[in-house]
Amino acid sequence: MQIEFNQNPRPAQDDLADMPAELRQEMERVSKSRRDFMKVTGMAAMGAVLAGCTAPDRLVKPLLKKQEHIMPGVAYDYASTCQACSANCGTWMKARDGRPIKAEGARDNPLNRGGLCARGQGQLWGLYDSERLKGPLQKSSPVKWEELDAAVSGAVKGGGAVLLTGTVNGACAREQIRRFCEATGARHVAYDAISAWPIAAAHKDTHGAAVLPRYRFELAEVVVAIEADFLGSWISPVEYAAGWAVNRDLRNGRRTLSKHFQLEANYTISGANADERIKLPAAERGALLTALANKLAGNTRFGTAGAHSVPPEKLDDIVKAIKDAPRKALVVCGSDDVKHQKLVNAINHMAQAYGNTVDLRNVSQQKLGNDDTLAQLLKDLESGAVKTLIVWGANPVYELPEGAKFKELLAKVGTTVAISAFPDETTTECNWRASADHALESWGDFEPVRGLHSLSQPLVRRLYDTRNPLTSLLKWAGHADGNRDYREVLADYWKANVLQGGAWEAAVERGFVDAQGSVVTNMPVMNEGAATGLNAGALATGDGLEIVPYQSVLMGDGSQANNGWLHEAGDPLTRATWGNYVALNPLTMKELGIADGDDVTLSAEAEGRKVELKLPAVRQPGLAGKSAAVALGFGRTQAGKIVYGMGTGALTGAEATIGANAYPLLARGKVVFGTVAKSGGNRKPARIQEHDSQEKRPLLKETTLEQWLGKPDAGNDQHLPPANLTLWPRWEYNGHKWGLVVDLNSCTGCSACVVACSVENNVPVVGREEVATRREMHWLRMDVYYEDDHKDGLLTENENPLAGFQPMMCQHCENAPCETVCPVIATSHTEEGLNSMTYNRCIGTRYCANNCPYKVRRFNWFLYKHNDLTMNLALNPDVTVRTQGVMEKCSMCAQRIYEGKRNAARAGVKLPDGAIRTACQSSCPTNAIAFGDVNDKDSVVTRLLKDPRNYAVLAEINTRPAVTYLTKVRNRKAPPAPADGHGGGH
Amino acid sequence: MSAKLAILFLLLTIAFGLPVLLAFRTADDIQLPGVHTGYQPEQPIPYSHRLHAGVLNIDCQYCHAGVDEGRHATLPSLSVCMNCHNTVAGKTDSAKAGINTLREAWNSGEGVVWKRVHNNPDFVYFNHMAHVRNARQGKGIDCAECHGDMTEAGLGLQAKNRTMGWCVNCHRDENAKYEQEGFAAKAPLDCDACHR
Repeated sequence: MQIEFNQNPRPAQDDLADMPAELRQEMERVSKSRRDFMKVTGMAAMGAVLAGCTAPDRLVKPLLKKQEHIMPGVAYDYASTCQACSANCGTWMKARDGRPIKAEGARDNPLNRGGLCARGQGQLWGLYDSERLKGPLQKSSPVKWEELDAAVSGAVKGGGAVLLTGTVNGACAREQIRRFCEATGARHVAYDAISAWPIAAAHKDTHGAAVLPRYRFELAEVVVAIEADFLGSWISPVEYAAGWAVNRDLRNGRRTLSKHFQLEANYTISGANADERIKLPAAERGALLTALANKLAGNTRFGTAGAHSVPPEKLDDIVKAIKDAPRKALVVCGSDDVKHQKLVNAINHMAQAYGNTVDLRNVSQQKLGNDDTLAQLLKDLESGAVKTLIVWGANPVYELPEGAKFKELLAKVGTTVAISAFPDETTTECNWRASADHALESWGDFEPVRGLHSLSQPLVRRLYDTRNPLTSLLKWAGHADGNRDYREVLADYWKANVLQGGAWEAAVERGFVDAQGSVVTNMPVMNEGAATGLNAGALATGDGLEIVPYQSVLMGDGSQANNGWLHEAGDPLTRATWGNYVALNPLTMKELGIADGDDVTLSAEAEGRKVELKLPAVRQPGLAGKSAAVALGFGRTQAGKIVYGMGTGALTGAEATIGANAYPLLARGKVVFGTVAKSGGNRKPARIQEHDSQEKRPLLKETTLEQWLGKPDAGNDQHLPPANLTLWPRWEYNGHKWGLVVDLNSCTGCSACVVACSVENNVPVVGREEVATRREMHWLRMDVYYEDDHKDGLLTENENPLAGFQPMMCQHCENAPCETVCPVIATSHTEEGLNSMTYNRCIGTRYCANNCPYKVRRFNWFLYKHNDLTMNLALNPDVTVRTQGVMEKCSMCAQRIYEGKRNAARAGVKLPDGAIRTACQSSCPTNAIAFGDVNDKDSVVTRLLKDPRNYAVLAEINTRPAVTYLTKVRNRKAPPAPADGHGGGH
Repeated sequence: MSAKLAILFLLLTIAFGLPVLLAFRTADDIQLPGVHTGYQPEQPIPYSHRLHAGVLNIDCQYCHAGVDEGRHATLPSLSVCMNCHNTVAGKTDSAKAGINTLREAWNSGEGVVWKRVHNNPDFVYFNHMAHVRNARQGKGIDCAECHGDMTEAGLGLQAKNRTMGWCVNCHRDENAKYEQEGFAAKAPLDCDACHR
């Protein structure tokens, strides 16, 4: 392996915060003195000719000893486990020349089956974040590990120690925690920022075991989700989405669809993808669940249900669907009220879901937090019983609703220790900060589902002076294993307890050991009495609007707040980037006199805390009336430069965070009410898409199952112009001809592909202001279209529109409008049917972008710099880093195409179908994207091109794209056709 | 810009430009920016390709291992040099000095920092495997076709006039040959084969 001392492709830039201002200056300078600019460039060109006579010396240093199986410049995949959230999906990390550059979902992992969400893709940003903790600290001054170890082990031995963590589910990791607690007498408390404890607590009462079941969406023909965004953010979204998609995939001869009801106050992507989305205010959850349970039972043993707004015929539909699908229905609920969860258990029991769609044997261990022990800890902190507090993998000061109080209590504890890879709100409050390895630098194990053991391995040598968190714990416990490499500790434990005779090396290579079948549990039996007489049917009441805090698809719990990729990808439903907002129903907005983008103040009282958030208001059609939804995970104050920098907009000082922290609004098991009032100003959020109607043009085609069964091309009657209607000769493709087909029926809008594309193709992050001026650089964007019910072309009064998502990238047209207008042939047609973009040829006229009907071309207005130099390590070396003044766009991952062709030629075989996978395709949790050779008559894309659902966007203008889509099919009654006769969904 | 200024600018260009042009003896000496034919930088060790590849007839891939597996030709790691130079100490004084430098670099673990001879611009993606192993129906292209006869060269040098036209002409010639011989595989002429 050799290290090159190249000049860096991007100039060093150590402060992102002032980038927009600097860019503005640059722009002013160039436009003010255009002539000077031309002169300077002319002279520079002359200088280049002269300098061309002597080559610049570039240095290269070969290794002393090459590792045998690693070739410089060749990327290898290593199996690992994603730690972006506690769902712990399997990953294949692509590493080249000793550094990870891309995360892919492990295709053989039974949990995620190849998909990986946006947050998983975004982990690389954290690894190369130069603001990580770089060594052990006492307060903010660097110390030696020995000093820190001596201080902490001394404090721990004094008794009264508590170890506070997030979910830790690895068998070996839990054993080390047990050993730590045993040796020191410390108590272990685990909690989750977004808790699933109410579900476990309900099962404790109804089934005698405080467990979180594993929901098997792949077995469910009927899905009823109540305020649970299982496709976007709830517990294990990739796993659930992959399972859900199994029964939604009409590409393989399947003639049925599962029936998906979504009842929710907030509008989530699960709701957008549902067959029936029913608005359910948070206050009515108990009433609805009681009514549903009573109807299923045929009596009123679950108590009296209050008056809820769900139409009786809809409730009957749900009851009928559940009854008609015994053992194949699944009801999930995201309510944090234990009573509600008990009702859900009773409903699932009546639907015979236990043992089928609800698995209590291989239970989920993705959320192991226990709210009761957390409450006890808060009491102990107050009483002063806690002498030493060690916090690992959690950020209670930020993410606990009572975080402000926690911060005060923390100051009273004698010794506070944070084990963390990043500085955060809690770490900066602790006396001792033990810098931890990043997830991609350390050995670890996970057991996301009982019996499925998963490993993580380091992909890169430690970048800083950090240590495995468990090594730290073992050292402080005075255990001899604290002086060993954690890899050895892990391997020994696995050999003795997990592998059952299997080889350790094989386990590392594969990344997981699936022993789910060997888990022996006495299947808990439902204690029906525990769910009756709950009297949970009353409506929650309060003044003002219901406040609905939710986890956004991209930001999740907020642990990755310092991540530009995630901020810029934009919420799939509102398309707002860089910050959260108060989402309101258009009718509510009208009532309150608030316009879209107006600054508002949300005031509420939750569990006695007075909370006031200043945020922009955003119109969200389909939100339950009298509700205001706010995303959690924003408003971090100690996450890094991104937080202070690109997202600030006009704000300065304390308000210069991205969005506002909504965690204080969480009130466990209670509905919070509050008011939203205009505060003056209109700080519109920066949106990637401002118009969410198709204006009756069928860009995103949709039909219903019934119509599709009767007519396979239902909703897809297109009138194509004749193929020979072109000024230019037709292209002939003698070798490969690439094609990409997106199944809109499988696409959930989760935006994993957007982030995957940005990571793979070095797409720059441009920041809030540039997005607001419509200069985002995404090669692949996620368009959303709400069901039309328009007045004067604007979506206004619709009570509850469904929405569809359409990933939109360069369509690689055969008759490409961009190609014909480029004056320098920088964009050209390839012999394999792609539209290629040659950056070094581009002179930046932007004619191509103006002529592109799909608006997928992006112009580099500036030299987009990384916030720090280490971020350059995340760049994909196979893709050019574009410079200021050139156009760019989706290349259909040309680097992967050529790699696939090379490898096939090397093996001396014909290129197998599926050997080349584009970045978007391989990230997709629902396998919605297919890529392949159209000239190969047996390929998947060839088959999908013949599918009657296949269509090209804007086919009528005869661009003949290589990217096509399959009509979305919903399992519902056809909506009434609008007056002008253009029926069929959107 | 006024007419006077324009004339002045023209005169200045001639005044400074002409001597530069006259400095080249023939038209062949004028190189476009980025083209460095004949570039043969001094190296920390006066390594001789003539001796190793020519006289001793060592295969190119003994040292440049992996050239048929990846993008880079790779420089040999020092352990490869030491396979022989553990015992081979050199005959001439200059060889002895060079080998001594190598041994010191190996023993101290410092390594050797070479000057890179072939530098492609960042926007060019060349792959050795595709040429050395895959081209010509798996027969591959001989190294000398692009790098010249290194058995006659001393230090590494850029033997050929490496311009895009040079690449493309070779690809065109290859394709013409394929067509004559009735093969389907082609040397790509698409822009995205090298620029992406």
